[in-house]
Amino acid sequence: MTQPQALSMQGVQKAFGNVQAVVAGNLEVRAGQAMALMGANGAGKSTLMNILGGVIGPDAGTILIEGRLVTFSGPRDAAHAGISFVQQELTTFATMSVADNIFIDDFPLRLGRLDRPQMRAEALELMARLGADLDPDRKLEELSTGERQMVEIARAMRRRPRVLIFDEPTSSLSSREKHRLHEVIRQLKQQGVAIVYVTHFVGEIFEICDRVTIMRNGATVADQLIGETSYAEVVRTMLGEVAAAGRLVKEQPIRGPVVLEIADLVLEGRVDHASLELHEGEILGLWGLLGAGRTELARAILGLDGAVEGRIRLRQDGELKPVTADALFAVTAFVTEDRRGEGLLLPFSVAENVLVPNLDALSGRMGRIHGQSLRSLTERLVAQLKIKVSGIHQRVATLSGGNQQKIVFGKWLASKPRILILDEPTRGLDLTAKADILRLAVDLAAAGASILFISSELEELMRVCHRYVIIGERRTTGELPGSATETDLIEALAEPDVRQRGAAA
Amino acid sequence: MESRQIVSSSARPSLRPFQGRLNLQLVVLTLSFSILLAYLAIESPIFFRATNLINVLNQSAMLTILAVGMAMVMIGGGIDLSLPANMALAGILGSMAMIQTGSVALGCLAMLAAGLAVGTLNGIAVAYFRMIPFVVTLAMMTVCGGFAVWLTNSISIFDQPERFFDIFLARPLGVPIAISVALVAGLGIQVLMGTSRFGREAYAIGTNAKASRISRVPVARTLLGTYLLAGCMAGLAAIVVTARLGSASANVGSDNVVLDVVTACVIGGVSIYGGVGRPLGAMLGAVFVIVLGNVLNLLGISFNLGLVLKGAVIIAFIALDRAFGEER
Repeated sequence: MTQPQALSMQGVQKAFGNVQAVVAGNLEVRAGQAMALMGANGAGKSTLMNILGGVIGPDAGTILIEGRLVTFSGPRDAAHAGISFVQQELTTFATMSVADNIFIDDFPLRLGRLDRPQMRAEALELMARLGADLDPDRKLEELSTGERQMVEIARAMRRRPRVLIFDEPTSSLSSREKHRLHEVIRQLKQQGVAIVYVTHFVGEIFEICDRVTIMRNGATVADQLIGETSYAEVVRTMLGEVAAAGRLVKEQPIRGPVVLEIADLVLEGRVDHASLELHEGEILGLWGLLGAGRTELARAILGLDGAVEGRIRLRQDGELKPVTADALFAVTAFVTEDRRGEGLLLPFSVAENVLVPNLDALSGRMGRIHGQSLRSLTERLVAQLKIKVSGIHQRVATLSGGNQQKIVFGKWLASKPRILILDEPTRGLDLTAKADILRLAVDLAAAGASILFISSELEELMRVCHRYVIIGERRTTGELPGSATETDLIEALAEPDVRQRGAAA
Repeated sequence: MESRQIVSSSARPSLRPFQGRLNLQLVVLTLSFSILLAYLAIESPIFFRATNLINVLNQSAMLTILAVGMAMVMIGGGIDLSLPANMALAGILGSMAMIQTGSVALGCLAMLAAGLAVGTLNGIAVAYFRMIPFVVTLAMMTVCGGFAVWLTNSISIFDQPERFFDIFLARPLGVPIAISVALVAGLGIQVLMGTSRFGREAYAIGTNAKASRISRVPVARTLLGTYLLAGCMAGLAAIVVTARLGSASANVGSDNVVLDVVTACVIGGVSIYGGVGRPLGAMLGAVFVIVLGNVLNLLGISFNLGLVLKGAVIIAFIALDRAFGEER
C-alpha cells in the first residue's frame, strides 16, 4: 500500500435543484487495475463520471490523482490531470482517416500546416500500444465497429492518461470484438493505466475487472474484489433491498387461452432469439437488466424496426393464427420508455393526443373528425384516470410526468387494446403516480387485456406479474412462475452467463 | 373542481385543432403588411382602387395556389422545390393535349394529371424510399424543367383554343375566375388540414414522426398524400397561369418562383421544421410577396436587389421560427 491510488474520489456530493444525484460518491482505482463501476439507472454513475471528467463541479468531496488534490474548472483541466474517456457513443468521423480521427482535437502542426508524418508515426505507435494493427491512412467508414472503437481508445490514450474511463464500451460490439477489447484493456493494465469500466453487463466484469464499485441511489454501497463476490451478489447490491411491498395480483398462473405466441423471433443485430406466450388477462414480466434487449424485443414484435424472422401468432376467432405486424399493432397499445420523444406529441393538446391513435374511430366519411365524440371521450378518460389538467385543450408539454403518462395510457385505452406492451411505464414518476400506473395495469389485465410488462425495477415487477420471462444478451433464456422469489429472479439472470462460460471452458 | 374546469372548457364552441399556438410569424407578417399598405396609401393611392386590388389578387393567384400546396408538404415536415417546374411542365403538356384534341376539358385534366403524377413520384420517393425531400424535389425540379424546355425548345405555346381563355379569363361579377379558383383551393386545403383526419395526421408527422409511428399513424401514406395533393395544386396553378399569360412556357417555373413560394409559406407562419402553420397563412404570405414586388417596383428598386431582400426576409423569418418555435 505504499503506492498511492491512481484515482481517489471521496465523499463526492452533487445536487441538481432539489434532486440529490450523488450523496456519497467514493471511487478508488489503483494503477494497473480495472475497476468496474456499476449501478442501476439513476444510481449516480453518470453524474460521478461527469464530475471526474470536469463537465460539472461537485458540491462537496475531494478528488485525488496519485495522491495530489485536484480541482477541475472544465473538461480541459481533467484531461490535463490525466483523465481520459472512451465514450459510449462512438464519436468518430466516418469520412476521415484513422490518423485524423486520433488527432481531431489537437492536430500536430508544422509551419501552420498539418504535420502528416508526425501524425502517422504517433498513430502507429499508439496502435502498437493497443496491439491493434490499423493503417493510419484508412478511412473510418471502411472499419468495423470494433476497429472504430480502437481508434477511439487511441484518441483517449494519446494524452497518456493515468485514468482511462470506458463508458459502456461493449454495448454495440460483437462478441469477438468484445474479446478483442478485453485483450486491449489487459494490455493497458500492464502498462500501468488505471481503468474505470462503467457497464450494465454484469457478466463482463468477471472477465476483465479486478474490483467492482457499486452505486445505489447516489451513494457508493460496495467496493469489493471481484473474486470475493458473485453475479447474484452484484445484482442484488445494485438493486438494493427489494421492498416487500404488497403484491397487487395473486401469484397463481393465469389459465386463460394464449392470446399471443412469439416463437423463435430473430431480428438481425437486435433480437437474437426470443420466444414467449402471453395469456388472456395475464401480466407477463419481461425480466432482464438494461441492455439485455427488452425494448428491442418489444419493438421487434410490433415490426417497428423492419421485418423479423420467426413466428408471431395472435388469437383470432378462437384460434391462434399468423398475424402481420400491422394487424398486431392494430390491437396492441405500446407505451414506450421514451414518453416525451415517442409517447406524446408535446405541442399538441390533451384531446389531440388522444385523437391521433384513434382516428379510425373518431373520424367519419371524408376524414371529418367527430369533435363531439373526441371531446366526450377525452373528458371520460381524464375523469377515469384522474388526470389533473386545466382542460382538455391544455398542451401536454406543460403537464407533470405522471399526468403525461396517464395520457399515454388514456390515448391507448380508448381503442380497447387486447394487448399492451408497457416499457418502463413508471420511469421518472413519483411514488403516487407509480402506484396509480401499476394499479391501472392490474385493472386492465383483470378486465381481460394481456400485458407484457418491462421494468428495470424488480420490486415493481414483483408487485404486478403473474409470470416472468427472462431475457439476457438479446435472447429469452427461460421463465419463472409468479411465485418466484427475488433470489430466484436474480439468479435466473446469472444463468445464461454461467452457461456460456461453461461452454467456453 | 376538476370536473367543473372540464365542463367550462367543453363549453367552447368547437375543438380547436392544433396548428401551432403562438405564431409570431403571422403577427409580424400582419404588421409588415399594414406598414406596406400604409406606405402605398400615401405614395400611391391608386393602389387601392378596386380594379387595381383585383388586379393584384389576380396576379397573386398562381403563387397562392402553389403556396397552399407547399404549406401542406411543409406541415408534414417536408418540402417540395419542384412545384413551379412541375407547374410549367403541366401547363405545357396540358396545352399540347388541348391543342391536339381541341378539348379544353381534356387539356385541363391533363394539366392536373401531370401535376399529380410528378407529385406522386416525389411522394413515393420521400414516403416509401425515405429519400431526403430537399434532394428528391430539387432533382425533380431539374427533371421537370429540363423536360419542359426539351419539349418546347424554349418556345411558348400560344395557340390554345379560344374557349379555354373565354372560360378562365371570365370575370363573373367583376372577379376573375383565377381569384375564385385560388380562394376555393386555399379554403379547401385549409379545411382539409384544419379539420380532417388527413390533416391531423400530417401535423402529427411534421411534429414528431417517431411518436406518430408509435401512435399507429400511417406515416408513409399520409406523407404521400401531401406530395400528391401539392402536385395537384401545381396542375391547378398551371391552368390559372396559362390562361393569364395566354401561353404556356418553361419560363413560368423559374427558380425565382421557388423562392417566392418558400417565402410565402415561411412568412405566412408555416414552419420549415414541420408541424406548424396554416394554409391560410401561406395564402396571405403569397399576396404579401406580390404586393411587396409591386412596392419594390414603385420604389424603382431593381429586380435583383428585390431578390436580395426576399432572401433576407426568409432568413429572418426562419430565425424567428427557431427562436420562438415549440419543443416537439
